[in-house]
Amino acid sequence: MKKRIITLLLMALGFSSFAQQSSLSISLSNAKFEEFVTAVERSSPYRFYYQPNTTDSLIITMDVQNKSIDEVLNTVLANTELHFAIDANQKVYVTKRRTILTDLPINYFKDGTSPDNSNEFDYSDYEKKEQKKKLAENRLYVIGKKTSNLQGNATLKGQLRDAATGEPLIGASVFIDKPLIGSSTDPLGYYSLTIPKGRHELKIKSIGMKASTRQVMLYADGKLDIELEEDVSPLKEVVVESDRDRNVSGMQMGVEKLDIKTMKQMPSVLGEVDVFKVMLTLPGVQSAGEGSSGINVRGGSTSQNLILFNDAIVFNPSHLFGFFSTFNPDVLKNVELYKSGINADYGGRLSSVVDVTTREGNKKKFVASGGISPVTGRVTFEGPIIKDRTSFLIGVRSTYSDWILRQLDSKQLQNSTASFYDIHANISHKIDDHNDIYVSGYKSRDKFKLGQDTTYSYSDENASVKWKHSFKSKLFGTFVGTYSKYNYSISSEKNPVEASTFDFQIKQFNGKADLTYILNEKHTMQAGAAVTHYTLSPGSQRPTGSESTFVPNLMPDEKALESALYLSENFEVTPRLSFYAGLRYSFYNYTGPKNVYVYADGLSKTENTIQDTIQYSKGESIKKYHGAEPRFSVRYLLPGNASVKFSYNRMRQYIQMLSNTTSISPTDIWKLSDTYIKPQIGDQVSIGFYKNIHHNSIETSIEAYYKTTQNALDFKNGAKLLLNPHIETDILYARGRSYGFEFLIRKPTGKLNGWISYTYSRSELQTRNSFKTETINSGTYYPSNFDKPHAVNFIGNYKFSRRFNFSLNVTYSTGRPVTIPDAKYDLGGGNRLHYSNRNEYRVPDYFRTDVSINFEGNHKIKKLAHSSWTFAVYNLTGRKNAYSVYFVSQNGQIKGYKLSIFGEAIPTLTYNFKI
Amino acid sequence: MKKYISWLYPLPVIALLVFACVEPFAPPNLKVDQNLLVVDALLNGSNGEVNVHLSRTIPLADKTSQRPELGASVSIVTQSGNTYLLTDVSGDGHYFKSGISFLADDQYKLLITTSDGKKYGSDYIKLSDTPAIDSVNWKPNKDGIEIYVNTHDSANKTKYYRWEYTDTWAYASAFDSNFEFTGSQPVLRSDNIHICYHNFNSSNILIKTTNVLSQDVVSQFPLVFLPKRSERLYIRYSILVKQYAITKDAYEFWDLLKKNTESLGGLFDPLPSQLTGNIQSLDDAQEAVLGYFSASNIAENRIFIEYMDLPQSHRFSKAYPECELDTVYMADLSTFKKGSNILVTTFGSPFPEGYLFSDNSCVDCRNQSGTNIKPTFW
Repeated sequence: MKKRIITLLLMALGFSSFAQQSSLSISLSNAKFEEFVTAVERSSPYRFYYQPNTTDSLIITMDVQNKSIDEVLNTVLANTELHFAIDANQKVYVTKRRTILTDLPINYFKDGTSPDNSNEFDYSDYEKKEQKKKLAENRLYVIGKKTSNLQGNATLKGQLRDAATGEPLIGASVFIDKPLIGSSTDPLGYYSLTIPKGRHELKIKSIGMKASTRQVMLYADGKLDIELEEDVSPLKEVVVESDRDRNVSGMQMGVEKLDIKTMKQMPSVLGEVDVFKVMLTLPGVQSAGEGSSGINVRGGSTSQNLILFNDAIVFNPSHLFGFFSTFNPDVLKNVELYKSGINADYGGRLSSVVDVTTREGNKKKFVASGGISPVTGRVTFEGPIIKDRTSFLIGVRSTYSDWILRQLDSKQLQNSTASFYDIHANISHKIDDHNDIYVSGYKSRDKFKLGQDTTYSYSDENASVKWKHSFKSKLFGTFVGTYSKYNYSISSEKNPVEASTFDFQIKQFNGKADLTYILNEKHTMQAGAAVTHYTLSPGSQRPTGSESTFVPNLMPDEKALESALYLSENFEVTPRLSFYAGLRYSFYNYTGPKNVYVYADGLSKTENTIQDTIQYSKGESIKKYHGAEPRFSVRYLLPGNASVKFSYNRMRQYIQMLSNTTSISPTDIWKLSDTYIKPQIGDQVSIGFYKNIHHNSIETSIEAYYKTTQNALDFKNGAKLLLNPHIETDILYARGRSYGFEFLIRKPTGKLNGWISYTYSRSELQTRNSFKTETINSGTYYPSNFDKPHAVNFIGNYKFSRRFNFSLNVTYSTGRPVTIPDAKYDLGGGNRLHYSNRNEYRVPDYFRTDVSINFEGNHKIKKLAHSSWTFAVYNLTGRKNAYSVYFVSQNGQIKGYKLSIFGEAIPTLTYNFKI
Repeated sequence: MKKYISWLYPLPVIALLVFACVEPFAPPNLKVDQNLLVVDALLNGSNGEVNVHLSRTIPLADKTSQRPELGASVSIVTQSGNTYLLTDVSGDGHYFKSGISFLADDQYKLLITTSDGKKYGSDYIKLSDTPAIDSVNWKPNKDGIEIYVNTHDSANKTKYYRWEYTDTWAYASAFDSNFEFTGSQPVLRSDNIHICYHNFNSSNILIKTTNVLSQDVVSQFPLVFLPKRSERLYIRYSILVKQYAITKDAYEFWDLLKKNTESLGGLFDPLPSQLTGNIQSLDDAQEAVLGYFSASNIAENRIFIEYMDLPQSHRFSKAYPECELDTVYMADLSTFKKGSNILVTTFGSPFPEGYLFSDNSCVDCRNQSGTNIKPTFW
């Protein structure tokens, strides 16, 4: 039926361009559009077609003599969003935003069979879509009011959406070939392209979507929304970059973009698709080992990553302390990782930005999807609230590991519990063409207990509201408010007399306003302000149960306000040379109420050198820090599809994680910068060379970087981090340096695709203290815990057919540094160990191979549920990679052990469905 | 090793206990000889004795277990001006002096000059007063028995405690020999080689602080766990618990030493660290000296656990499935291998025709490294 209507509509439009022009004389005062129409229709053969609700705000005052209909309408519709078109039958179509095309494309009817003879043919959905797409592609979109003046540029804006779900497409590129001008869509799917006025063929490309074109006639600034069809190939490609030459021509360097399709295809441990595990296959990203949460980006610590989930901070993004990430793969849209060249709108962490964005719910129809893996079950619902305008999405994931534990034949395990869940919900609403609003909420929670003694639980939750407004065609605003909270508690009940619970919590509120102004095709400016309020409860330990004699130990809350202003400019000097310059200036104010100890001058800070205590009242400023964070990058395009890029950025971090373990652990706490703990400052310079060969089908790049960190923290031997009211006495300041280069060859598309990377990197620390006894390794540089000089990753994916593909992942890296014993001695009746210098030795090298096979159900479009199976084997060779090595004194003897977390091949089968 | 894992911080249960594995690991062959001085020194205020054990660190790869520091000059200097010289009587690095009367308000310092002329010393430390042990008790659980210590300081001053224990148990060989056969003919045995006694000194670091509690009370601090079929519980078991009040510094030293050697390698365990005690080199501030010098009075308590006190489910007897009796006729006694076999008793009725005998290891309990001399407290 649809096809027939379109055909009839096209027939009705007929042919034009030879319409007779009769002159009009009209005199009206404060008239409505209806009155104007009546006046014109009375005195001429023109007949008007329009939607009354689009014209009801129009008030017309005019007095014209012998003017053409074009002139009259141009006057009447000037400064409105309305357009008109006149066909051969003197019918006038007044439409909002778009001009009705009265001309059919040339040779329209010569193309195949005549459409109106095809009524009997049963088009499949696919063919209908093709037909619709062709129609959209062949049509000429007239943008702006028709004018003969085609001098200068105009800006075309709009949103790219998925035709099936209505979801915005992010990172898609929109460009014209002559001259080559392009832009990519922002995180809300909007693009803005400033190009010379006139006739253009607009090309649109996006991952996983069919490439499309639009014919435009650009007279003035205007808007064109574009819907793209999903590429029907349901076997997802491993594509990391959004468009094919982005790595060469884009301004960004050190940025990696992963979409969920890529992640789902890669072999996963225990069947859980994990953002962080996928990131670990990228050059420059490492972790301390399996089962450790967090990532180390270019030699930075795990706490130096700004992890944003729909703009809100996440403090602990892992379940079971690192075995899975807390981001449910079914709700994710994409993840961007910035390793260098971080723009001025991001701040607060030194090493990297991990920007996780969730999907919007389907705006067209209700969809349920889910899956079962050996560890979790998950389900996602989504659908429209108001069709094409408002949608919701809710995803829940939970483990059933408690049930598994009870099945195991071990008393120890039967008394243990381990449970976690995560839930995410969002609503997106398009208020009108200029306003979109997004509301998102997230919570993850873990609880576990081993044996009967100690229960650990932690949860991370956040919420965000985002309003995107376009003021006019070249000025956009994004306003975001977020809230994040992370807390954990440890309770011990083994001995009722000493039973107690320890709690830690951090809360932050954040507001950010961001304005982007596109001056012209050469200049884009961005400015904004951000403010974050922290409330940190560093710890409290309270008795539990009536028998407990535990003395409550409460540490006072800490509060601070961090704010920042930023301004940046993207300037394309010549088509080959462009640069980005940004400046962020951050202010930090640590406020009371709090008591601050004063230590004796010139002496090591210890409990014994405390001289005085200063009391600060509520809201009183205790310590202020502020500083500039310049960001700069430049790109120069070389002949032969290659480019060179350089970037420098400085970051400041006002909140530190205190941890003296290898990975994020249950007892890590965060600490705000205060009188003694200075903010960390990181500087990074990086330079890269990029070249695409074989018509962009193979991308190569090499990036080198050098990074320094000031005021990094390390700890004195035996430091007490929990419930320590004078933590400064246990802290050592260190400076860090890391450097390396990353080499990458990637084939993003094709039957065989994937990448291979080699990274050489070093990460070192040096403690700085005027008291030599308090330095580590006598004050020389020593490797950090995650210093792994050599790393090689191979990711390969081969599509055997549309329903069946095979992935292989091979990872090698140097073993991480460890401190191990170098001598033994007897003391206190037992054998004891003397340890080497910090991180003087290394665990054996790491090597792992994973494979996975994806089977898709048949591709009939109309069936109840689409399902897929993934069979994966993690650590195929069963290599016992050392997570750590350690030495214990047992029965008077010293024994060395090596702990492997996944010491054998782990096969898993995962089932996914979508209704 | 499974058991070890379970004492680590709770680890992600499923993945870890199902897939994790722990394997022996041979450390890199560390031939570097640190050769650091180790001082294990205790001034016992209760009996006026000072014990100082000096030794050197041993490379890990080295099979030697002892490297005593001999020929050193070791002395205790009091703030009140007395000096007591310690002597290494047995020549094994144990320097000793008794019969000193230590005063609670005096302070003591350890001075060492090694045979190569290097000087080491501690700061002045006070003698810590140790409260009495309230009780040592034991409780069975389903896997064995746990022995606990209880103490308190009503003055709320002690706060930091350390314990050591020596446990002693009796055990029996498979067969009780009535005959000795050393000369030409077997004679009735005069000594006991059936029941022996074994001693063991604690090697774990047992420390506790009550500084987080409102009262200075140590309640049911677990000292030792004896599994159900432990040899120690077959006949009679005794434990002597020694309690020391220690300083906060000493507590931190032992705590770190404990962390460094007894709980490392878990996912969330702290990184090991270099550790030095309260003794410094007086010549070279960079030279590390290991060990600790403590001064305290000692409180002691001994309990016994009888076989019959154990719950029925915990009573086991030592089994020697490999031990068998063989026979030797009187006429063949000349061929009897006296060294490797021992006569147990006679056989034949009414007149003995020969002897039952068994392997030396099944008859003489001393083969299991115990002593057949009954301890005085038994």
